[in-house]
Amino acid sequence: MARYLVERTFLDGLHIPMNREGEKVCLGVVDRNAEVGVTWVHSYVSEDKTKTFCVYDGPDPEAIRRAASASALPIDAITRVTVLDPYFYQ
Amino acid sequence: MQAATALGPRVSFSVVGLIEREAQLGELRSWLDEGAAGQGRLVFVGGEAGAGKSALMGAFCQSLRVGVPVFLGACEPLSAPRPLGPLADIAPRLDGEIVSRMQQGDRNGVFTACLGALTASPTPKVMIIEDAHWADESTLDLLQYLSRRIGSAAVLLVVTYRDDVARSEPISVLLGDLASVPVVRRLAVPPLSPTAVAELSIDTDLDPVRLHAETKGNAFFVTEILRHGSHGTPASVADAVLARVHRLQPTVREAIEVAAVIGPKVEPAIACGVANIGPPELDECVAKGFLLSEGPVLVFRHEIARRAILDSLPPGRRAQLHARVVRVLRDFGTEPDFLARLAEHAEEAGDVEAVLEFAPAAGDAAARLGSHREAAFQYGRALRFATRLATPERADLLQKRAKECGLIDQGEEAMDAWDEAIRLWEGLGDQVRVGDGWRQLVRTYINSGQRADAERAANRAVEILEPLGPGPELAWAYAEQCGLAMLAEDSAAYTWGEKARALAENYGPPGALTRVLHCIGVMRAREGDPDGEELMRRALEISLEAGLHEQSAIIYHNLAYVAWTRLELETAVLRYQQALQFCHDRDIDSYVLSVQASLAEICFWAGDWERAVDLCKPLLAGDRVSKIGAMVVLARIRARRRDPEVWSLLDEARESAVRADELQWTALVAAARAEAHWLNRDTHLVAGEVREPFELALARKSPWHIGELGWWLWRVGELDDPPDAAAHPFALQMAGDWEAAASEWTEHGFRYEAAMALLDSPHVKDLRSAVETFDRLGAVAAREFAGQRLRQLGAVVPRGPRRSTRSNPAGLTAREVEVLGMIERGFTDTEIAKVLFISTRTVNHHVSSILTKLGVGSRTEAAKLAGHATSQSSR
Repeated sequence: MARYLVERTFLDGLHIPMNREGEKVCLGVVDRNAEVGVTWVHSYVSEDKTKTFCVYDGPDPEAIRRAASASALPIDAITRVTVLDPYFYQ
Repeated sequence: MQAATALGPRVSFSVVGLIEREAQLGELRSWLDEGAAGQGRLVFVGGEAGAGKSALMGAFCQSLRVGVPVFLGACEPLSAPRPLGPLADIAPRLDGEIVSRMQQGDRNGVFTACLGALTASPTPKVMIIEDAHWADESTLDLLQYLSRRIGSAAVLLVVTYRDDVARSEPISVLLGDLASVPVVRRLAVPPLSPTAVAELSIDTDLDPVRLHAETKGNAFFVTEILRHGSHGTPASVADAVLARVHRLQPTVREAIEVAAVIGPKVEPAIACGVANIGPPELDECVAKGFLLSEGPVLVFRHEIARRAILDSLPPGRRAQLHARVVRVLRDFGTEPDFLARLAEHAEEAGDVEAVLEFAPAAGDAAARLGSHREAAFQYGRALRFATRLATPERADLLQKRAKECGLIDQGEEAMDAWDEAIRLWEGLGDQVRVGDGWRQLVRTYINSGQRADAERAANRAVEILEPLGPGPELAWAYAEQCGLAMLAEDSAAYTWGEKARALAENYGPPGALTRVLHCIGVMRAREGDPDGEELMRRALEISLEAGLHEQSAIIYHNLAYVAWTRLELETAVLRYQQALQFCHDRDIDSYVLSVQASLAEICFWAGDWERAVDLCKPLLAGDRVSKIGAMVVLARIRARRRDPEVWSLLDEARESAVRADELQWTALVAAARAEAHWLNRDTHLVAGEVREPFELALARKSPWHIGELGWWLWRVGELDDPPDAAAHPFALQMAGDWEAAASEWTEHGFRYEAAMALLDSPHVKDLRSAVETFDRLGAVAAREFAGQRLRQLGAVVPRGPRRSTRSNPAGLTAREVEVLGMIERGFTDTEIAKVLFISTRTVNHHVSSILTKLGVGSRTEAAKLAGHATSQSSR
């Protein structure tokens, strides 16, 4: 299982309400991801909510794309990443 | 003799099965409705071990109205599964014809009879195959076969499998193959939610939060721990089971141990023959919840429990029980079904004689039924015990194993077996068989992409057989040489071909003759000679007539290939599909992968990248030479999309191509690497990748490779004289006629290449059209180049495609969006049913699925949410 950073642009801004509806939207994405073996770890959202940087675990880039299209999410770039721990050397 | 039961092994009607499975049951019911309406469905139900797949099936079967017949068969975790095991469970109830076909070992007859029985009447039928991750090959082939033929039948075919292990099992290949088959549906059985676990533990002292954390919502673990009454980690489930075993009376305990040794399915008569136990002890096992009674047989409620019991037996006792099972079982019959079980118990008992009696017989039976994986396994099992066999018998077993391994992509095992068989024949002084053995090794080496070894083997075969004078073996050896030269696009193929043909026509092995005719045909067709295809068709006729399935498959494959060399993508796709169908129908699995790799490449050129990806994925697991093609296609698609993990594939592909040492592979990899460098703007690295294979392509007069590789050299300014022999559209491009090149590419269906040709245009209009094509294909990388050219011309670069972001964030299906739209407009279910020509019940399923996905409680809320979403996306 590899880790990927997926950059996305939401021209109209990303609006997920902090309520049950928002939870359903997020869990819906999680369920659809699971169908292609992809796990959404978490995301960073820009202040104006037009860009997100999402961390995913998945088998390969194609699975990341399938998961995105199943939830109608846009993709700007997929980068394979590994963790760098700044305190590792202490 | 067999369990032909309405409900199969491991079905448990625990309360868990009924919780949180409404959505899945709804889906299954709507697919059954579709089936009843004459749109057959094949549903794959995946979930981890203990997720409750069997329980879901049980609940589904229970919910069916009377009169819908259910046929249930299960696969079992034998190291070599019973060929067509699940069908053997079902057949007696489904159709007697299937049983007799199975006994005759008539594979095609079995398939046809099964299809016939399922589709005979318009009454809907449900067929369930459980635990398909343990399925034997023939069962998977049967599914493959049915999937392409139940499209208009009143059938719901449900296949359950463990998705936590499926990746490493043969079923993963089937899942990949069937990805784009229209009748296929997928259904996931996810772990239970914390709410469900809390609901289940309501009457106990267990802490629901802790219970959910410990079990991760696994239905089996939850059930076991609830049954046990105290907390424990999943690892302690075995202890929980054993603790229950230890509480049993000694005779009952013996009964359950005997049952565990016999297997997941226990015939009471066998159990009673093995130990001094009787029906009362077995009944007690049922009463205590270990076994379930399923018609004439008993089955374990949970396979995990059976394994725990089996593992707890001391080795000596276990072997003793297995030995007794062999003694009892052999009186039950020696049909293929029992042979596999006998061989397994014999090995577990360490009974050499019994292994040597049953394993080869089980292998022969499996091979006859086309279950090559099982056959190879059984021969291998026999060989492990074969030290006391006479040399010719051992050599014979080795040859059988080598052939079976060759058919299932176990190249290394096949090579080892051939090597040893050859050594034994050498010892016996049987030079003809030694030479013939070397000849048969050639294909194995070629399939594994080891060109140098293949040449060595082919030369050895000729060296040994030539002094022995003409004969069918020598004809074959020459034919194989001809094939090797053909693959290398080497004109030596003609010389070998002449020699082989003269012998083959005299000594008559039709295989050698068709091989020669077909190889020469490919050579000629590649040169543009229309007689080439004629020759190939003659070869095909002979080979079909002689029943040479693998040969015929190869010829079908190459007929598609020669269409591709003429850049006729559509014809090529049709012919590849024909080749695939042929392989599927005749169970030539090893060859299916090669054809898929070729088809993937065509899909790639035709711009159907999604399908190409689907076709490539299963190939990456193997180690066949065709894997190079799959790696290259996937890497090129990734490079074009600017996705990561391009070079890991291309480096491995280059390594394999060097070993395979044929222009078709080295050129393929070189072109891909050149493209990836170029898209990365590492222009200076392009020429280094292609120069050497380009020279070879010139020497071998191979138009496509001359064209593609030459074009990359030309593109980076490293080619002065465009070669004459280049494939036409490339030649046009190199001659500076981008316009004609683009229209020729378009005409042939190469969308991406057409847009690439337009990059050379000085007109804004052409570049915009290129941008459009790249956007449609998702070719992010090339789009940047087109954008750059537009900016150079002072033109505006169009904005990227405005994706329909979150217009459908709940992941509704197209049908559900349609239904939601009608709900919003105030239609009732009955009205919706009328408009969409579906049953009210199906509408009901859609509505409840919409409510679940939107997370709302009523239609009104759904309508409100839908209105909200519409107004949002139209803004």
